[in-house]
Amino acid sequence: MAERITISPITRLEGHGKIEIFLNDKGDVEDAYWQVVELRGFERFCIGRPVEEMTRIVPNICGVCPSAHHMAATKALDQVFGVEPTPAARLIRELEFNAFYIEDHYIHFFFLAAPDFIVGPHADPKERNILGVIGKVGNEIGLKVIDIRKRNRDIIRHIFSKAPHPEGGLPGGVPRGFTEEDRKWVKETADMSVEFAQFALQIFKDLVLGNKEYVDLITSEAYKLKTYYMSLVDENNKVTFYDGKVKVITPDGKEFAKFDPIDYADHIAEWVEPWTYIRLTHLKKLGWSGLTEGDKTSLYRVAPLARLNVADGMKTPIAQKEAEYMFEVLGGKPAHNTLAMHWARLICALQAAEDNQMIANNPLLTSKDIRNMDYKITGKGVGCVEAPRGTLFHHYETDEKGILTKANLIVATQNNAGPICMSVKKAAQAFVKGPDVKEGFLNMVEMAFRAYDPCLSCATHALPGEMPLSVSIRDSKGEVIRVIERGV
Amino acid sequence: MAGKENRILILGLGNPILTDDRIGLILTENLKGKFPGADTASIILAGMELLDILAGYDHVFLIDAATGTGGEPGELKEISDGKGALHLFTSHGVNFFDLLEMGRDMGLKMPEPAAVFGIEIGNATDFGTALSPALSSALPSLEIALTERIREIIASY
Repeated sequence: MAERITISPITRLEGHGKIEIFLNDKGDVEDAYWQVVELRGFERFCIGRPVEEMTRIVPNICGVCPSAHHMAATKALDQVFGVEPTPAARLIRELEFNAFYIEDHYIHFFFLAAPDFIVGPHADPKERNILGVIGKVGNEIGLKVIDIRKRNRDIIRHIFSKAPHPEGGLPGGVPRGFTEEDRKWVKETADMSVEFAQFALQIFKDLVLGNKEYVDLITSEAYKLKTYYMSLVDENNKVTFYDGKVKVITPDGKEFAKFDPIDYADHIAEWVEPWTYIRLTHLKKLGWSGLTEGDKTSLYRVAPLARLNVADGMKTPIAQKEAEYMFEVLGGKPAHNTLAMHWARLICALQAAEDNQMIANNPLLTSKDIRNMDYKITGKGVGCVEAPRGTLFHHYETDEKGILTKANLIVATQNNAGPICMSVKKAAQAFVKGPDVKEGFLNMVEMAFRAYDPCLSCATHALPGEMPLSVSIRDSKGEVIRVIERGV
Repeated sequence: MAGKENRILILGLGNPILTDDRIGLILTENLKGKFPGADTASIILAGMELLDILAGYDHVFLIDAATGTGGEPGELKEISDGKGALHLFTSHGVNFFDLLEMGRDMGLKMPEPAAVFGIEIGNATDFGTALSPALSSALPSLEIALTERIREIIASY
């Protein structure tokens, strides 16, 4: 009798999603899909509007990474208006984007990942959340997380008027610069962020790497997936967040492609499947391979581990040492361990903090030359950033007056959608045996997709005892034979 | 928290580009200045960002779009547990009620929820800045009802 298990974490704003696990007659996992319900009509909503409105619109399409959409839109506006940001404006944008990385990555690690690794994957769901984490590590660390995030949000707010949903992005520049007086608090924030990043990595080493059970999980086949990887790299092939070339490597680490983001459509194709609203991206030159891994796949992954796999190294010295240690523990590069994304995420936050130390000491930071207004409408712009969750593309086209005629977005979670399905399937095959599955094992299936930090319905940790999680088990006739609910 | 002169906050939640989802933001803006000694603020979603906004207040009123409250689109409900409210719970952070608990655990002065108002909405998934006809026509009466109820609760302090 074929049966179906549905894990349905329903949340708002990030979208609605659920996991469906199909069992075969023996009760083993036959297939698994991560499904998403789409918010409708975004492109239609945008067309006909002045393109400069996009930096105020796009931060609202995601409750999780508004700064990434805002920056991609700002960079697309540069191209639409045919203007380069001044060197000082570019530096200030990099400062802001690094600050966003820091606040974003700590939310994920402490709120979404740490409950699994610090409280424990099988712990009572009522304790497997941020309150449980703080209970384990102490109030002082909780206050440090809050403080470091607030300080970095102050940088975002200073430049773009609002945080966490900025809206001041301008073609050719930034709306507000820094004074020498400001430099002091920016430098102080950067110094504290580096110190905190090292502290967070030490917590990871002590509490996660120091626990054999967790190391076994991270390195287990259940959480491995061999795919291509994609990320932005700088001119030295190092990890970069704000700007660079798109580089793709094969599952065994060889360079497959390197291109300017404006040529993304030559390299990335989208595939439609009837069971999801997400258009599944894959490498165009390889064609759609289906949900497969290994040498024959055309799927690629983005996000923190992809960044470290793709680049020749980190841009900053302390982060580089940490990355070397990570690959040493994981057995070399590229690493295919999905759960190692949490580790790579902390290393990226460290690079962002170190980079902001350098920016804070750069004389250009206080330059008054922060806008280039020599506009000439070109009618097309592709803004690309390495968002915390992976490579993000905003493609806009306009008429000669700058009115939008086309808006196409390829978001990080879309890049990862196919691999997320496969990661869920592999974890389900390892941990689900028949319909009578314990909550802790379902959580271990969820851990497979939580590692990607998808923008759509991903976590069960934030809502102790109240997460609207519904597990339905159906027989071959589609009738529900068992329902497990929490917080519905 | 130093610098907060008023003890009461009226907080609107919602997404400004998701049609009726923005009703809490509109109502909060319309209520601005109606209650001496009360501040107003708006945010897209509950989460850690609220900690900075909430800390230091004695009482907070929440106005949010809601679904599944049992009412018709445009109907106002007081939902003390927040059930049905669309932006008090987030998968990427901490929900509103736990945020209050977390803040108190860390020694911060956090407000008591004076009331959680949920406005039932019909359209929750289409992009747009215009309210549906049902919400649009309900707007004046919603504003009156909220004004009276908030005034009544404040008077009881």
